[in-house]
Amino acid sequence: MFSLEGITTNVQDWLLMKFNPTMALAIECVIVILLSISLFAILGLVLVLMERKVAAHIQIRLGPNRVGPGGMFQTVADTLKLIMKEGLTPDKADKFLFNLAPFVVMMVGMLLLAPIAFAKNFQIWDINIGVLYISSVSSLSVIGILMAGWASNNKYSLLGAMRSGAQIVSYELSAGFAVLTIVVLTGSLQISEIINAQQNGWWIFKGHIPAVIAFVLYIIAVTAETNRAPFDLAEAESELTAGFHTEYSGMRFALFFLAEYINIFIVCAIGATLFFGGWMPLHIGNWEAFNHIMDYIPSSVWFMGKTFFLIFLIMWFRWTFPRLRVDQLLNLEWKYLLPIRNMFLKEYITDVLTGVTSLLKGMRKTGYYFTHSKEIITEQYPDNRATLLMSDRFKGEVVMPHDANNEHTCTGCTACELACPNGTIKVVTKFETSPEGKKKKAIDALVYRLELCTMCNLCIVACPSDAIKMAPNFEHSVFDRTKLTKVLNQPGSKIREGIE
Amino acid sequence: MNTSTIIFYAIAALILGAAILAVTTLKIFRSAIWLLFSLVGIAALYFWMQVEFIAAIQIVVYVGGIVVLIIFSIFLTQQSGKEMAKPATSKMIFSALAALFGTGFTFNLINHYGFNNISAAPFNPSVDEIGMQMLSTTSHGFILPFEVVSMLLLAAMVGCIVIAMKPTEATIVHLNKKED
Repeated sequence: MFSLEGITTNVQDWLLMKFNPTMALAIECVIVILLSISLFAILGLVLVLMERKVAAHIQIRLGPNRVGPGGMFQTVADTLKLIMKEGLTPDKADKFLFNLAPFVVMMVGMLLLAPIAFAKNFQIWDINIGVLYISSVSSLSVIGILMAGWASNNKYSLLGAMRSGAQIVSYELSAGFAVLTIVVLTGSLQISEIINAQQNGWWIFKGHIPAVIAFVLYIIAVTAETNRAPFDLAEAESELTAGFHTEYSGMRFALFFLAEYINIFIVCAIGATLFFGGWMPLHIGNWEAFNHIMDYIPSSVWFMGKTFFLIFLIMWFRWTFPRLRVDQLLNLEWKYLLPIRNMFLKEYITDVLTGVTSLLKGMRKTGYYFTHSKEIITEQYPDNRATLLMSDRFKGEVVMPHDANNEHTCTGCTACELACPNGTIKVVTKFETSPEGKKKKAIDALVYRLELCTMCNLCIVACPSDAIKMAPNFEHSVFDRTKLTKVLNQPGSKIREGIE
Repeated sequence: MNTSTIIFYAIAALILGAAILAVTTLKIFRSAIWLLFSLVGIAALYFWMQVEFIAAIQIVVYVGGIVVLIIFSIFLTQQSGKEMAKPATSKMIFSALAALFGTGFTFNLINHYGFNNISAAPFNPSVDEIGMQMLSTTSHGFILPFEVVSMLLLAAMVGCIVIAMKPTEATIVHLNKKED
């Protein structure tokens, strides 16, 4: 059976055979560094694409679908673009700290990778304080954000950094309590022991109600700690432009962006380890046969499956709930997640129950849209130009219909020109001599200036002979603005017989 | 010189270099960041000594807690973007003297101690052992200091709440009466 454990032992044996132990250790370090960097790069590409796809499906759209099959290479293209962009540094920024901050954020992500068990016996460092190590190192990420916010010399960045700091520091408490629940149930901080304790059932099933509450608490707290919607006050774009990374561009911005997704992966991996047994297959008590069948699925598949399920859950949150205000954010943490102030137990429980039911209702709605992709209403523009149906009420420009004989019904009465509030229409008239020798007024040109038109429809209403109407065309872009001034009557056209 | 020694000197250089930069830089925020690096270096030293629990606590308490607190107070009080004025020469001389004297004193103490090599592992750094010792009432237990420290923390927390509390209307009326 496929096993990552075998590969690592083989590599180690071979290295020890060829080199002395110090050299072997150094080479192993290099291998681990290369592997984790490539994992980061791949995760960044995959998770950003996943986020955009999930968001699109929840919002009944298609999402990226141009680059590669099904839009698969969209994020690769984005990365190439970001690499080629110029990395600007603001004039009065603290240059050293400004350049250092993205790397601090990334380094914290890399350090957090160490104790995660990716598969059976496939772990960088099975440290005996695993869970404590994770919660301590993750408290470092706030430093990178504060550094970025301060060094940018921009008030939006600073405000974003302050918000982010307050948020991370307070939500760390709830996350810590949630993790402690599992530590107490297991009796160990070591990741491998926590996983082994779930041999006969994952903690979320085995731990009954406390584990379920801890899981909900954990998911809420880590969503806040990774600064993701609905807790993305730190980069609330409608208030703070982009929060702490307002001034960053190019690859340094990409590092922040990448770090966000890496952090999501890490917290979800830890959540999967604590509550869903990490790489441990689904085992139910003493059902030997069932457990044996489950063991045939490789442990790395189990781990990745659980982690990506949790990532999906967090993305689902993001596209369901609106952003919290600062006071709501802190109330949620201190009054509900850590029920310290609220001593009225009955009131507290009713509040929590109504809150949770309303949240679940929202998630049910968005989940319905996600699973019913047939309801997607994205137009495949411009591929569907031929079949594109615009609704009747859409007004894009004024046109003058001509029939097959190149005849229109405009008498040149200038009613439209008079009705137009901003001089969009100009009627140039001429006098035509009819065969009987009678002089008759007719239009020479109906000049229509699209760049002025407000689509107010007044000209159409004013026209006594229905010569002009609104058309649903919206593809108006031209390179030269003089092309926006159009003559509506076709060359050589004349008025239809019998129209006065 | 083996790998372990090289790593030790690298960590020590990081700690000392960051510490010197922390006191010599003229920007208050940079000073806090250098302090942070110095404290992370100390945590690295604990990891090097394989007392992981202490290292993690060092990061949680000093880096995640105290430095963040320092940075917040810099944000809220100082004009953190501006360079501070250079300290007066007399101040610099006296602080250098104080630092030299302190180093000499400590070095003297350490030099006279004469570290003996112990073959047996001196202590068991596992987490459950630390927890047992912390709450043990036997001869080497730490129950008394543990409880005293928690009383101190409780007092500090009550003090914080009293300072942060909004005065209710009743107390305002009461205070006004006193002033009259």
